[in-house]
Amino acid sequence: MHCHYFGNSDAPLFGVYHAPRKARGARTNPEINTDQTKPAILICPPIGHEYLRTHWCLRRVASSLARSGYPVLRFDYQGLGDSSGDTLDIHSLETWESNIRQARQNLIDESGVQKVIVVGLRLGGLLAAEALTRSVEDSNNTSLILWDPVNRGSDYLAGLRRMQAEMLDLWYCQLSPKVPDGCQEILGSLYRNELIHDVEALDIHENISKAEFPVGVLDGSEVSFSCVTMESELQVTKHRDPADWHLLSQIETAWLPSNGPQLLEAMLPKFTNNSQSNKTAPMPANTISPALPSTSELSSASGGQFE
Amino acid sequence: MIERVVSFGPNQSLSGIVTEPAAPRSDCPTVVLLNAGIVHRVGPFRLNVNLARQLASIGVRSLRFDLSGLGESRIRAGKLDASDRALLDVKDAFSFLEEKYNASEFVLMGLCSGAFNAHRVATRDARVKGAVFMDGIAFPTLTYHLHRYCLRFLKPRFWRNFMKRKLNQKPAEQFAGDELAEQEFFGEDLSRAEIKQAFSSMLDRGSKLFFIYTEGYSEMVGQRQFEAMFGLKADGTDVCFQYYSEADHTFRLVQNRQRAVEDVGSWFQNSFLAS
Repeated sequence: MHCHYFGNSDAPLFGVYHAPRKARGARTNPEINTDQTKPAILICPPIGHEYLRTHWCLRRVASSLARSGYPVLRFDYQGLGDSSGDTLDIHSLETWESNIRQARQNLIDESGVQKVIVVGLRLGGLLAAEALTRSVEDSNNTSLILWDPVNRGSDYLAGLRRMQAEMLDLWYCQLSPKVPDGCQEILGSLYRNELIHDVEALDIHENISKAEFPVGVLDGSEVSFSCVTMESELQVTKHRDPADWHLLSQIETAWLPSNGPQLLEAMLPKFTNNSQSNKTAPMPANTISPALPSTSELSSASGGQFE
Repeated sequence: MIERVVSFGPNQSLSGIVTEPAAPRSDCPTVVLLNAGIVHRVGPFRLNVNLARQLASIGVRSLRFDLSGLGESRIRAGKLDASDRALLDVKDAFSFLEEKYNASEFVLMGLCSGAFNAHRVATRDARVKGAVFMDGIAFPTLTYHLHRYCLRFLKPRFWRNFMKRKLNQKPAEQFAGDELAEQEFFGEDLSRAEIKQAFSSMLDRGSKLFFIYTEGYSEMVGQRQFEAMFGLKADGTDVCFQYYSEADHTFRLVQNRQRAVEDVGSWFQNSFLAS
């Protein structure tokens, strides 16, 4: 594991690169190359309190994937975690989308692998979709998996605001937090109104319908993904982990799903083999690809390596 | 200010970030920020990051790092409990800072389990010249019982919130998983006499101590309890005390967090940079 800063020197980003475990024999015989067929994995985390909740899980997922031979990069967006700046420095989503593109390039530089699968958890998924959709260069040789994605920015913010209101309603005393002009405070972070406006406009269906790269969804909600991409069929896999993203009592509880990480790793080979130019007629909406095993098959299999 | 990723300890297994001021002062201790619970080195709601950058703004270098097994730090080999691991981890941090930055004195800062770990290290290591204990050790006193079991119940808001929580609570939320976490981080049984002796020793060697407690911690009700607990007088010289009656345990609200960060910065300035 290699922690480092990368990106612009005036706004460095913190990243953690997980080198892949070498192929059998390569540790003692340097002439045996590491597995060059596996793509690199870029993990785009959520923001706000969900960033803290999911940090431990994403670290474990990254370590597990690296043990399976995938190079992996985790990173913090500008204004979050150990990266430079503060959330008040973020005036639009373009900053975080740019961070994703920088992280993707850093991963390619670190690993030497050109093919990248971006795994975006929660809002991280939508940010990644926006980042890749806007940049043809960055979407080449790239696939995207959306894990428990935020479907609509407006609904997401409404859920956060409900929790914020509930939290203040149950506070020790009656309290109206003082917030700087032009900003909003949501569950521990301050965001500029312009940024909030950008988030409100996000819509996963509209976003991934424009995607010219393979997209998968790993989700446990009852949402129906009734869209297809321009590239190929949308791969949807349902997991059984509880979805407690909008419970106030859980906002500081570590998120440790048991089902999702195994399913995520099982999805990866499908995207490894997917060709960028494989434009086929879109399959009917909300189809679970027959190439993927069902969740009941996975739960009884012994192949899951998530610890 | 510049932040650098560092690795140290056995097999470079401990990972952290050094926050280096633009013009670091050489005449003051280096600050070491400890994990709160299982939250990685950034701290709850980025508290440790804010503290590090606030300190950097007054010329103070700091290290925030992950104890072994947390965040990006690997697990330490050997059968050690959490408190012993923390002692060794902080000792490695001190050694690293001594070697790399010529540091010889340190100030520890920690919230919750971080405060407990800071106490353990400060008790044993004379290089610790100061500490900020946030929601750390507390013992109930008569004042505490009076507030918690009498006066609090007289507040209509207490009953209002109690009923709302009960009505909204889902079955899954009634699991008392916190017991295990407490055993992991606070397993050391200490008597009040031992704690008093430890603080006296720290003060006898010239350490400066800042005790911060929040309303959300539920273990402290104010300065009177504090002074009765350890026989310490919080007169703002060697012993400072601050009680945030509007703050929760992890400083979720930005204004409370900002206030705490500024207060810690002011305390450090008054304690170590006054001359």
